[in-house]
Amino acid sequence: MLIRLKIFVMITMVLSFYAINVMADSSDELNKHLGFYGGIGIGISAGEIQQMNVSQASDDELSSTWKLFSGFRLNHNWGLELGYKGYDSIAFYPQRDQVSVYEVELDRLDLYFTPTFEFDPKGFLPLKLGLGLTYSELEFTVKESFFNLAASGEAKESDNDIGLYLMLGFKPFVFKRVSSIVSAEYILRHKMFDDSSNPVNTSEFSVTFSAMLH
Amino acid sequence: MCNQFNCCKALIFPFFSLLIACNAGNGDGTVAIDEPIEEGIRQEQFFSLESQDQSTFIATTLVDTGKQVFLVGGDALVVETNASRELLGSDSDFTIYSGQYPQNLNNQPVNFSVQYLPEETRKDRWYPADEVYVDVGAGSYTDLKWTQLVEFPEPISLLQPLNGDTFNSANDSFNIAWQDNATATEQVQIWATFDCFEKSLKLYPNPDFTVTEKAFSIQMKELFAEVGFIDLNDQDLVDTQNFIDLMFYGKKAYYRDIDDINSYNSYRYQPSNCSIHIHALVQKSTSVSEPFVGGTIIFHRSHTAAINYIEVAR
Repeated sequence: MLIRLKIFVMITMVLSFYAINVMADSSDELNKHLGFYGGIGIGISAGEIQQMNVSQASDDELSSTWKLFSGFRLNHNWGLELGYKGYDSIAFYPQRDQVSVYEVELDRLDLYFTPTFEFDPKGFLPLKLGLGLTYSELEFTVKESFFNLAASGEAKESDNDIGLYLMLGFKPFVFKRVSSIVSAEYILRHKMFDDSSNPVNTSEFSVTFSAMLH
Repeated sequence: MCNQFNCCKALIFPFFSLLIACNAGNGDGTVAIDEPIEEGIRQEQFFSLESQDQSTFIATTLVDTGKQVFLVGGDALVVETNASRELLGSDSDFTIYSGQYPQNLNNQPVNFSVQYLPEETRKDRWYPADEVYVDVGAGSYTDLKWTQLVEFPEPISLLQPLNGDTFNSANDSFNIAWQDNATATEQVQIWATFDCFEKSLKLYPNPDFTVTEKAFSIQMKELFAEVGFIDLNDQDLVDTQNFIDLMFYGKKAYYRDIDDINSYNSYRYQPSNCSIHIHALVQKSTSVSEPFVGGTIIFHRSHTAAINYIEVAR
């Protein structure tokens, strides 16, 4: 499944470098815009679930992702950014045990806040780094059908916690007040459902393509 | 690997299958034989103690008015003594609730109960199942409880073969000899379980073997013939076996479809590298009392030796 993610990254990079050549003055444009900015993005994300008690991890489960974000550039290098990331549900194959046949769906939402650092090494590629925190929500939906019992049902439970946010992006296109950013983001939601006897770690690696307005 | 749990399962499944077939008949819960359906709950229970172990294997099945009891939705069969408490798992195909209790239960009263434990019954799941589960409420068998005094027969000792004995040819013979203090009401049996092809085989009592002085001799090829290995060079036999598997056991004739046909076939039908467990067991049975209307309880004590069959071309 990661092949799709790799293809997506490669296509994005090719388009981005093309855009860089077209807009050679990106970094000059970039440095003109301080103050507020906001944007939207879409991308693809590979989620992994790690059970803490049995040290098992799921395969990477791909889903689409979207984000809304807004920030403030304090100077040419430093800024602050607040964003909201949503994902398509991950649905796992039905499984059975002595109790029932059950299906599990996983929904995730992340609100992140990060200081950002932007720089333009040798005037070639404007880069943007972020290291911050998320406030994440994880929701499990379980649908169960019981053997020998004309009953089935659905249960949902969610948990919220603080997680880690990492971002590495570059801006291939900056023109007047509009720019684009391609970013790789990593989110670690540590020990969610920690009241449970089976807490889980989840992580999300996503690549998004965003448009923003300065 | 054939651990104690799997070996016990291999030995009790034929027993329970027979009981369930007699009591429940068809899979739809109707009784297939011309006997009146007993009103109330029957209980069939099996306790097993292996001489080298300090744990007791327990298996239970319940039949309510001719229909197998299948605990649902978080109901669990709990077994308790003063020392510890365990949930018995289930094999969903046979409705046998079984598990290894980490204690020698000989001469102890053991408490059984059906309890609604929606979180504990899901504790093996990969997600936080104790926090997110569908709560269907307790089933109709919760609060069923009983106490059973466990009384194993005197130990049986397998003298031959010895653990680790290795045989290299189908023509090799080996002795099976044992010592027991079985009373007239207790039964002695010799079983073999095969790791090369998961199967159990009752060797004694068996009219084919003449047993004198609690010993007999048997050839490897006799064992394999009883288990039903077939010669893959005989295509008619292979086709017949495929047909039987498909028609009678509902199995896909998988050993003809998979990529690595040769290795799978040799594993499945041509024993060349097997671990064989020889079990000497003594068992006694008692009848069941309140709150059940009937049933059988079997106490089964065994001594096992693991031998190897590694074929060497000559």
